[in-house]
Amino acid sequence: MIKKCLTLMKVQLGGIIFSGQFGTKQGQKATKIASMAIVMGLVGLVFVFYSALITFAYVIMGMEDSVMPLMMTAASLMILFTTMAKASNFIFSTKDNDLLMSLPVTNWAVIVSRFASLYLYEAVITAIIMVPALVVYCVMCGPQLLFIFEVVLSLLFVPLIPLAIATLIGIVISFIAARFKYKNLVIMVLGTAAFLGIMYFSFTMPSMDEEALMEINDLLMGAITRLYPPAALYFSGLNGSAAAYLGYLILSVAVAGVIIALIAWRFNRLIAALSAHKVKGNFKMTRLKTGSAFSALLAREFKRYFSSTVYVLNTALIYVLLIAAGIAVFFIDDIEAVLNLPGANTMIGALAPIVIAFFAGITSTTSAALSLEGKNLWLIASFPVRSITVFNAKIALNLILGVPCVLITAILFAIRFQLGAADTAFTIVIPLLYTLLAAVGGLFLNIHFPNFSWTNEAAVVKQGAAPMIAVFGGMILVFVPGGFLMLSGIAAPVIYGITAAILIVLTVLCYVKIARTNLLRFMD
Amino acid sequence: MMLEIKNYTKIYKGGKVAVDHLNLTIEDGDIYGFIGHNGAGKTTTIKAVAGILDFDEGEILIDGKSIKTQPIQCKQSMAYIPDNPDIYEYLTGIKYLNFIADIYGVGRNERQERIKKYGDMFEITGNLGDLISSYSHGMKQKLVLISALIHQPKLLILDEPFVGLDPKASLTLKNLMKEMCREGSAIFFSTHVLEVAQKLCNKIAIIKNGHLVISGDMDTVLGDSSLEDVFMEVSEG
Repeated sequence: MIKKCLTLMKVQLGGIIFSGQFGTKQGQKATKIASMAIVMGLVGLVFVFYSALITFAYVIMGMEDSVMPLMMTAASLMILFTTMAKASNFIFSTKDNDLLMSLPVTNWAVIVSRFASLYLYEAVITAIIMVPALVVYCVMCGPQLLFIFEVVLSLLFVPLIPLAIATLIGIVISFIAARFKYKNLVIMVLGTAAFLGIMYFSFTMPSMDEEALMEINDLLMGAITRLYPPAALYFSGLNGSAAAYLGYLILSVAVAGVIIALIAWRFNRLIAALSAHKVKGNFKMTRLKTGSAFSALLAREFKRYFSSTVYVLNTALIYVLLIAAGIAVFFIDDIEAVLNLPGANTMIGALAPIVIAFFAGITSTTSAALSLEGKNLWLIASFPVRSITVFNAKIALNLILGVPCVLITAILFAIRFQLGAADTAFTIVIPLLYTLLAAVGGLFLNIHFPNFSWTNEAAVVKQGAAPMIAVFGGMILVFVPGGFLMLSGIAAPVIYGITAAILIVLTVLCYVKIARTNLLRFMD
Repeated sequence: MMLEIKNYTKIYKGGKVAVDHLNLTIEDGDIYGFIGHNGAGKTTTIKAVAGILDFDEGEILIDGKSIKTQPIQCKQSMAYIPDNPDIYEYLTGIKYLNFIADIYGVGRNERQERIKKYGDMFEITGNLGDLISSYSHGMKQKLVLISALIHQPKLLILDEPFVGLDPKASLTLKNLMKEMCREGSAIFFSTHVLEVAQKLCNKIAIIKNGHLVISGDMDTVLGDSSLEDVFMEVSEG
């Protein structure tokens, strides 16, 4: 079974990471791999820096005992959040189910291979978060070799529990939704509710009591344990209890094993239930609506978008959070007390354009829109419309979803913080420019890193090269002016002016490139 | 001339010559069969004619217009049906047909009338309200056929159109093809079913390893032989 698992996993990983993303000409392939490596390297550096900085700060504050459990919890929760939307889709809704089920492989082999493909991806994320923290910890605290060994070994186990739980939540949501007419809508609502629910519990951790600094490790561990109970075992394990450490490892394997076993037990039934269609067969012709080719393409983009839960949860959810942040800011009287952060009121007010831009800049529906054409690509290539019309429809969808959310939130911020005319203009214009760049730049990236041979939507929506670069590239583009605003002392209007100019230039360059792209180039 | 293929050459990345200097002419009213072994270059040629595959050398003219320089006008006057009906599974049948009608700019009354007519002919009208993801292969094939007929193309290009169709739908398609050609349209299609090609087509072309080895009027090409005999003779020669 292990050999079959490995073979299936190899095929899966090939499909996720490499399939069609890098072109076929040798030079083109090398350039694309190099450019992706540079961007991903930068992204990795941001994470490494962030992780190292947090560790440094916690050690300085005397919370060194809790810092590795904290990073483990951060990695686990990140995996839980980011996997919930895709796990069920990844394990069940792949287009090669029929083919695999007809082969002499067991359900176990299929599920373990799919789970392992997800696991490997999340293990890399875990390492990116935890290894820099461990390095800083080692330099500052000089731990024993056993501690280092335990942390390194645990890297292999950390993704198991969140991955398994995310899969279970995903299945439950999909299973409930399968009973409804608009099942994708139900999945989106439940998925968003689950996400917001976990976020709520995450933020209800007790605030730091400065008088209790002597017990700060206990306080922090109490908070972490509430967030993620297995962290208690991990904490005790790293602080000398071999039984607790082994307990954590065994618990990780056991949780993942039990959930995989449960899925394998009812795999065929679950696939049938999740892919069930309602067929009426009683259609009667009514008056049809007519429209232009562009409006038809745009309407199709909407249908495509809302037909994919993983696509929606990966993008629209961020817009939902943006609106939620706007409403929260608008209605909460004392933000400083709620966040327990003196000066938060002034800071958020001053950084309003950047705060909103962060949400807008990392949300790109277009970065996967072309790849999602998949096997249907021949259709748009055969239509009597110019390629740019097809591309414009994809960009328009992103803007229709993003612009109202950004505008509403910007206006809420402007009213709440009583911003002047210039600041209000920046708060509206800067995030809108980020939205425009996310839409145009996302498509530009997808044109450069397309993948039409996927068997699972999650592979292009969440793990494709273009969406990853779009998200992390967007973060970098927001962090840079944000950093200058907070650290440089340069006047905000100057920074916003330069930022706006750069965003406009980037958007125009990307659009010119898109306008010159013929869909035929993907058909060879 | 409805379709002129002049010195069409397609070389795939990696250097494989898929089709080498192919010449073919299809006139109004022709039902032109295109046959050959798997991998002979049929689909590569058909895709280039449909304007969805770029090519290296030669020229393809649809109703006098170049598919390279005037692709929009060419595509507006033809319809292409691939060998595998991979269409938008997230749409219902009727939404898909209405979408295609919008793309080709078909008027409201015309599209309603044609959807009803062809939907009834292929016995799929009742299923048009269901999601395409619930359709069988044959139903998808029927839907693609209806979508191809909705704007009344002058040139219909089909790649293995009878695969997956039930016998009744196959007969309906054959009758529709004859009717279209009587009204002046032309049809260019590939098939492995030689009996169908012999009965249906007035012209035939055989392609082998990217080269056109025989083409012309069916009667002239066959003489006293059957298409199967000619095909076997040509392909083994």
